Amino acid sequence: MDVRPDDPQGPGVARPAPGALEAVLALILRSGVATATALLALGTLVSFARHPDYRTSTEVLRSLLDPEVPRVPSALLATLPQIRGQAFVLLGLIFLIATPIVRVAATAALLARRGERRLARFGVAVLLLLLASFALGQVAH
Amino acid sequence: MTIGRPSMTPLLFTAIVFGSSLGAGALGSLLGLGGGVVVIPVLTLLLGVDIRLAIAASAIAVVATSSAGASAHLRSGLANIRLAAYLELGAAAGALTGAFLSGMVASRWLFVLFGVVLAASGATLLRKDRDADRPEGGDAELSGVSLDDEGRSFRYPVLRPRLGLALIYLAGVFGGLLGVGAGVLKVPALDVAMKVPWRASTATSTLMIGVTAAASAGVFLARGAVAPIVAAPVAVGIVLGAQVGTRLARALPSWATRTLFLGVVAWMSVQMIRKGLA
Repeated sequence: MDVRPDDPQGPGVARPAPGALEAVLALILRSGVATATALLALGTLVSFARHPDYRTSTEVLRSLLDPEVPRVPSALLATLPQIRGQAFVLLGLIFLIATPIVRVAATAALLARRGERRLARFGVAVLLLLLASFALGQVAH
Repeated sequence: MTIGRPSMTPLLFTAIVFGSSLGAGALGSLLGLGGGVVVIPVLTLLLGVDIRLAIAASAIAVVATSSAGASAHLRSGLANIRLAAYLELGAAAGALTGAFLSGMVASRWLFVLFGVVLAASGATLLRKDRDADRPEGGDAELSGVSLDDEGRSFRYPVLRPRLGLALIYLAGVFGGLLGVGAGVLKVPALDVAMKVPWRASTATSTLMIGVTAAASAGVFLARGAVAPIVAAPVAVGIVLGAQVGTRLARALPSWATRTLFLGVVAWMSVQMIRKGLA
């Protein structure tokens, strides 16, 4: 956070108030979470609206919770034009997972801009690891 | 394992998962945990969800807890961005390691492992409050500012950063194995090993656990291991619950949240070990 030498508590002791860096990162996180939450809630509501048996049947839950049922992301996203609830849920999940990734990228960029290159390099390395997790997950599948 | 025990409709299941996730989110953001320590036992022990789906949903939930809670901690100034940037490298690498190892370990041993590590983590906190100790030295670049129980700010150094990085890597492996943010291990690593004050430890842990979980969640999602019926109510519930937790974190004294943390850890540890050995 920004150090404030004129702080009434004494020089050199920064009050834990957010600086510009913290404010930008907080905005990124809030925006990502809000968008993801809206999509997840929308997807859930659409699913229940399109499937009346979700409200009455005790058998359908078994298939929804079957760990052996493949839930391929690309196949689910392809149903988005048909206004499928699971597609909106998947989109929300992608937004949610992307939020900390965007936050890490912004942290690295902002620290580099402030001349804090060592920590900026750490941030870039983290970003590469995160992106690799998606690629490796696809390869393994 | 019986799926959806007892027999219930998807509507009832969603409502129960959402409700319990509200509490998990509040507790998680209050204590610097990802909510996974609550979500996984609820899904598996109470609702009979397969642990593979529970772990994947938990990873999603931890991302939600972290992003929602950390936003507030950043605005309050307690989350140490620079320390998090340093430690996240270990956390992300560990999480990737753990995610790929998870398919090689039998489910029951994941329960036992989880329980044992929880107990060990709690044991490290059974000591007097050391926030009164103000160590000197340490890495100046990573230092931050925290609040004491009287609301006064003070600057703290960060000691033994490399040891902290190694511990955070191990915490990340554990998080990747079980789809939790491993805040239950990261908070003690920050507090005990690196001498970061309790409030800053929980706030910084909340920020970091999202990175760990995103690495794991990315793998689970790409593999098709995330069930929307589970992940959606968990994530939404935790996001809403986290709003309450972050406000409580600033209002409650350190000893109260530390005691609550120990209670949660102890109960969860016992339940998970019992489940694995049953």
